Amino acid sequence: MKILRFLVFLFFVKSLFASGNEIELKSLDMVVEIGGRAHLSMLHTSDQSSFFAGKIALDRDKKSDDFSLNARESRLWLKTKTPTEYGMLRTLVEIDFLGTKGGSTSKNDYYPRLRHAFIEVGGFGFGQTNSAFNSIVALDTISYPMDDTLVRQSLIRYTYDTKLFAYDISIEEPKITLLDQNSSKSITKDNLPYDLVLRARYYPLWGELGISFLARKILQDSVVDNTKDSKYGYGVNLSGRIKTFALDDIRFNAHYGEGSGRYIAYGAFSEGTISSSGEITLTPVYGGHLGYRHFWSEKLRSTIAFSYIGADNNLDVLQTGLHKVTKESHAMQINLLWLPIKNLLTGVEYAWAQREVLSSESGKANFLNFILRYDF
Amino acid sequence: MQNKRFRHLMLIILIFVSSGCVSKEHDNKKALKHMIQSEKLRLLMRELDMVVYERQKSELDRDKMRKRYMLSLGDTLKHLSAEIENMSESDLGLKLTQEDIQEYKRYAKNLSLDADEIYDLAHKYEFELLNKKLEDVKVSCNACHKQFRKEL
Repeated sequence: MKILRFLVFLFFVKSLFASGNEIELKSLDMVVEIGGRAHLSMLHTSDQSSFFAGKIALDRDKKSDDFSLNARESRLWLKTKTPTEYGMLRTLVEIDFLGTKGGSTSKNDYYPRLRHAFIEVGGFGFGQTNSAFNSIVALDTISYPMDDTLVRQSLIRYTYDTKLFAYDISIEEPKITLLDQNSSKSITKDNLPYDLVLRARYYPLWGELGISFLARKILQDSVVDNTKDSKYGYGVNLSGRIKTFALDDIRFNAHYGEGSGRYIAYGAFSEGTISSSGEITLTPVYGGHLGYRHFWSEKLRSTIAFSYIGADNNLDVLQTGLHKVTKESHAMQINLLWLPIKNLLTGVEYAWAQREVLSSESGKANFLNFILRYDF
Repeated sequence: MQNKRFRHLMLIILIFVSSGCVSKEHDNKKALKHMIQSEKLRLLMRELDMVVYERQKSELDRDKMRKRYMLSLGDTLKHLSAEIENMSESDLGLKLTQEDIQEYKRYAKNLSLDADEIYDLAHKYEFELLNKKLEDVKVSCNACHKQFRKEL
């Protein structure tokens, strides 16, 4: 990480005092940091699936093996810190290149994608960043677990931080997807109240622990003819890390929610279903993962992890297109990561995943992922 | 798992037994605590290095993690300083002059001041200055060990 320190002289203030004229120089000590990573990913998949709960190809859609090589996970960020009377004001803008799936065959011109644009001061934060509902600890793997709880969106958050505990209240961007009778997704947009997330984190010597609660109103207004309906959805997410021996640890996550679909597994599940009469039924979604990270030496480490995610969709509503709706997915990941020199990470991961859909069809996929990454 | 725990326990005992920080006649709980705090310090520094690889965190979140680790580092240094401060001559097992004892206490005091500086750096998110500070701590520790191990 390279750090540029600027002493920014913002303004001169000429103050008048009874004793005469005095010039007072005020300065603002803003530190600007620029960093990022160059990341090369080499992925071999057994059937052109993606390693996400809703994207494991079904056996009937099997294709040939695929080998891809790209640098889309490279990132660039800029952050600042400025002392203020309310504490340190910190800002971050970060981009990556994952927004474009395929570049042209000759130039691979992947476009930048906004990851974070966030400002924090005095416990308040606003902008786009990770949802407070996300897991507070992620697996040390190359691919993601099936139940990954990760959403980045616009939000306003207040955090009360103490040495051992941190508490957050966050108002976040609402978005809702509902499945109709044909198992097609409908996105409701109008009149949505913000999602509310409450989170508590605990940082004892033995690890870290976080629990978050999500409350939201799931509604539809004229999605089906001129009908209206609404339900209150919720979700609970428990995640953490327990240190075991030396640097080894156990990492885990458990999730349950009704109407929490989009907060988990990258959109594999919807918030609920909508009947022909416009009635909403919330979909219960549940899952979790468990991983163990072991350090073979200071520079060599491995993680083995298992993850599962499932949902109980309302089969009274869903009539056709059941092969499009994921019922459950589970996966196993095992890797070996090596730090040959400081900030250069390389490693290989084998992952296996299986998905079952509501029509009882299923698909399995194998992934071999090799990375080379340098953080600067 | 049991074997691993046993190995770690044996390692701590081995470090303790082979250490020159205290005399072999005066092996005691205070010295063992000193060893454990030193090991804790090493692990915290290693965990700080690993923050960059914590996935799905924003850079601001990572900086908060670094801040927590730095505060823990400060706490550990404070504990170490207090333990050194409270070690008696018999704990050390050395025939120390009054001057030596003053020197020894000065090392403890310096460690406490280092901890204060680390707290300050953490609150200001001045992570880039931490390595320099930790180098100072290392120099201080080595100097203390060199001076008070030589008679053993």
